[in-house]
Amino acid sequence: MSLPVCVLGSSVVVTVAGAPVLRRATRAGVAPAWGMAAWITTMVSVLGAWVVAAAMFIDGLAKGWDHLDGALGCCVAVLAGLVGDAHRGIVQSGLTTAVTLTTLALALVVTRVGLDLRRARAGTRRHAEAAVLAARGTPRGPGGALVVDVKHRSVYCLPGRIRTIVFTRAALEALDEAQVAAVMAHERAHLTGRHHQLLAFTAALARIRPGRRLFAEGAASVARLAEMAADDAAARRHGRETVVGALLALSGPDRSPQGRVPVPGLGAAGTGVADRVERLLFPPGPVRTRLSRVATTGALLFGPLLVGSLTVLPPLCMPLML
Amino acid sequence: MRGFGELEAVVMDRLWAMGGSGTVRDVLEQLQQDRTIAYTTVLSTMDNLYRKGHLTRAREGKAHRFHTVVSHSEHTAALMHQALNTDTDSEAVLTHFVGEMTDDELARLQQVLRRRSSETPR
Repeated sequence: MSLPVCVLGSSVVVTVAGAPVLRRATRAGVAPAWGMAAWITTMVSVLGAWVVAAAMFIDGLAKGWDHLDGALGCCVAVLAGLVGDAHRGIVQSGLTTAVTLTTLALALVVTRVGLDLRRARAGTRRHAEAAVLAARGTPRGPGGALVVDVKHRSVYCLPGRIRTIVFTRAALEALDEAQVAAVMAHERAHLTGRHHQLLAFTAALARIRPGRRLFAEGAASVARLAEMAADDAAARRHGRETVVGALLALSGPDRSPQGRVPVPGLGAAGTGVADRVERLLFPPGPVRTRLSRVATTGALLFGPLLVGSLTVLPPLCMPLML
Repeated sequence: MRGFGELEAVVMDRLWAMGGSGTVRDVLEQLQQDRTIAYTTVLSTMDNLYRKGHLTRAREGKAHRFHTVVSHSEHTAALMHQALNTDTDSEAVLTHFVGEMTDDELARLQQVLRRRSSETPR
């Protein structure tokens, strides 16, 4: 006997309780890659709960109306008890409608996430082609990086077929040789870690309305932790001071009047430079590192365990209760 | 900003190098200096660019003279605008080394740096 409604309930619990738990566990960015895994696992476990619930519902429907009635039976009984037996029929049809709508919404969500991912890939490819064109006429930078001749300081990487790093000329001039190497190591860590795919996925989830509480914060946190993971990769090879130096060289106020490109609505993009500098300058001690890892692991397991246990246990217990 | 195919990018580059305008024959002669390429290939590429709105054209004798719609620097500016606006109107997924900082963020950064100079450096 299946209990789609209870599984759905577990996804609500994970959505509401997951964000604060994960926030606390991953805030310091002690083990950023592990933190990313925790956020993404929790987000996926909510999606998984929706899929399981929908599958159970469709399975019940296929086996016949009576069977479905049984599947919803426990919730109907509880709710009917609350509102009085006279309204049992209303409760029953209300619940069935709710589950049907959930199934439809899920199909919609999956389609939208798929479309978003495709659009992100196409957009990135178009941008890469435009970047190659803009960088024509400027000699290639270190390691074959594209150099675009603008006065705004910016460095970013382009995933996909082109797989390259873009420096603006101003950014290249603001950095010394060691800092350039550190920035490149940072961006390469994004490329080899396939961070853009994770970010495209979490950004697509963040546009889903139900569960937004978890998904929107998850997307922002994954982006922040991805930067920290890439910082660590760069710091391992080039030293923490060098990475901090590069961060400061590129984040300081742009003094040249033309240097600052007016960018409307960019407030949200300035994610965590101060946090990144802080954790590089004052790395946590071994005890705090271990504690933080344990907390992150706990947060990682919370979602899948809750959803999993509600999916697996009730059908096992049901025969005992009968 | 629309993207460019590989050959389209080469053609745009050549047109920009020629000062923003040229005929199919002009571009063909430029391209043939470092590759073998057919007139019809260049013609259809430039027609594509015209249809996509990257080029305008005006009749000149028997042929068309094509003009680029934006200059190279305008193209670059549009690229940078897109690169810096990944949150809003762009679909590209780009990971910046440093994002644009708010005033709050800058103030926090100053705080962290003051803490560094007051503590003994590790």
